[in-house]
Amino acid sequence: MLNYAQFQHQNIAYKINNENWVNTMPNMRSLQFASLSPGNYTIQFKINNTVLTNAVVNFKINKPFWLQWWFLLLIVTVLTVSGLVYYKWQISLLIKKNKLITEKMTLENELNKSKLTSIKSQMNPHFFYNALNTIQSYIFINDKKNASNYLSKFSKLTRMILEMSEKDTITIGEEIEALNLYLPLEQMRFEDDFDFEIKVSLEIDKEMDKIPPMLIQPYVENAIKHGLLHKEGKKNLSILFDNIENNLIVTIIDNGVGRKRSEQLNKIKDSRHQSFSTQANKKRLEILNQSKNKPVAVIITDNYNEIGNATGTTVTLTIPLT
Amino acid sequence: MYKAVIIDDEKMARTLLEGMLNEYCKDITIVESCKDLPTGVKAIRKLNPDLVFLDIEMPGHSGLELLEFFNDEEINFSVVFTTAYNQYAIQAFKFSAIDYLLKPIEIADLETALERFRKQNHKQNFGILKDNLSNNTQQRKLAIYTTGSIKFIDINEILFFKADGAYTRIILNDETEVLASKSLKTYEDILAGTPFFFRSHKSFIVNINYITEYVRNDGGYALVNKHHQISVSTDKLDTLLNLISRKGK
Repeated sequence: MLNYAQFQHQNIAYKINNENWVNTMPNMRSLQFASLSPGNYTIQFKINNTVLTNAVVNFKINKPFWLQWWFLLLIVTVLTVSGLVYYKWQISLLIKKNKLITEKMTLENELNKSKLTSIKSQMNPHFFYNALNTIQSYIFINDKKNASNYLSKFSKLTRMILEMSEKDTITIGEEIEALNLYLPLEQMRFEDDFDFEIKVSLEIDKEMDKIPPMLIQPYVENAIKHGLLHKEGKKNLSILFDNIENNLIVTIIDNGVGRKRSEQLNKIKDSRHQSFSTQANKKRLEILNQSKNKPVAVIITDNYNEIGNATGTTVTLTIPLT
Repeated sequence: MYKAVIIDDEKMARTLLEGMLNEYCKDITIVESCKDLPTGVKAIRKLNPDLVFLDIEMPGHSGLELLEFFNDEEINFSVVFTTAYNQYAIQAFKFSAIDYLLKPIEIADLETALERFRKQNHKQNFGILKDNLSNNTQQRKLAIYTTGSIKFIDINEILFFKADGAYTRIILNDETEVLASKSLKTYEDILAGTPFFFRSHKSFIVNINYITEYVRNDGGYALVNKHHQISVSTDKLDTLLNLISRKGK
């Protein structure tokens, strides 16, 4: 720093700002300050106790970048923003979670509702009152045997339906039993021949294989109401139960007037008339399938003979067995 | 002796009605029992019955379609509808004062219907039934029993019903009044599916379309056509105000 030969043997002292004077080591040619904090500095020198007024060094040590205002501001901003983002994210997580819970609850609700509708559809008010009317008829004509048969079948069916409504699944055997109560009651309403058969493949374990209750009955009721009721002459209904690759395949075949004709007839009849069970069924399947990864599938086929006349309808239900 | 035709698709139902009529209504002879509407129409044209028992829910043609086969002048027979369950038709019957029987049939109900038929004190108005079946609820005509006649009044012309003992005063928008020989409850039931009639108080059913003001003083009342005071029970107030505001939207 001080590089004048004539001062080589002098005592040189320096002071920083207003600190005390510090003597330098003899022959020391430079001053080094390794750990000055940021700030403004003035270094004065004196040689042999004479203060050199013309040799004042002023300098400034800048704060390191991590102490600069812009850096601090940046850090604060980054922290605030990330805090906000995290907060928002947590909230959205919560909302999502709540939404899932609500969705699940609505689904359950709907399922319960559809259970109710399916009870109602089996207990179609019209079917219910007509059954009672038939019983009254037997009583009136003093046909004790038929009156009591019909009444006990009807009560058994009502009891089964009430019991089923409590359950999420029933065995295939129970569903078949319900059909075997329901169909004879419908049979007695027809004047002409109405035959039905229920065939169960050996692949099915009637006691162990389970399905949602009252899934099949509404399709059977439809086959009667829309297909067979309009048909003149002999009416046939077959219901086949089979197990293919752990799926219950139910095939309902009627030899009725077919969907097209039935629709026309109902249109003439009453535009406001809506097939209650069809609607209820559709809704029920939608809900059932939402909560299942293996859906229940329904395929409806219109049957025609070789000259193109409708010969009935086939409904195929594929229900995954669990 | 009166001649009767039964039209019902179910054999057991026909058997039952035949049996009941034979046993309890000796002055009625069943001339024909038909299993569907077309054969029923033929039988009516051929046999000229005084009375027709008609089921509503039948495959092919509904019983209600019978009216399409005959002109109003051609219908010189009475009809008693029978149904197991058809809310929609029953509502229309109530509106139009048409006789109907619910299955299973109670013998007392059958006798009451036949009593009315024998007196023939009113001709059934099938034109009104037809209108009420085809129109929406907004344009219905209501059959009102008065002493000596049945009046058919467009429900849109009714301002309000007021209980008067076992009778009901019906005030119309031309400021005339009809005294009906039925209770207020009867009309509340009949109008159950009609959205603009509201039972605001134990003595009132009001047509909310005519309410012009609700006054909070004196226990609260609604003004109909600006000057009729209609009482509103405190527990009915919220529902009424809701109905009115929904209508405004």
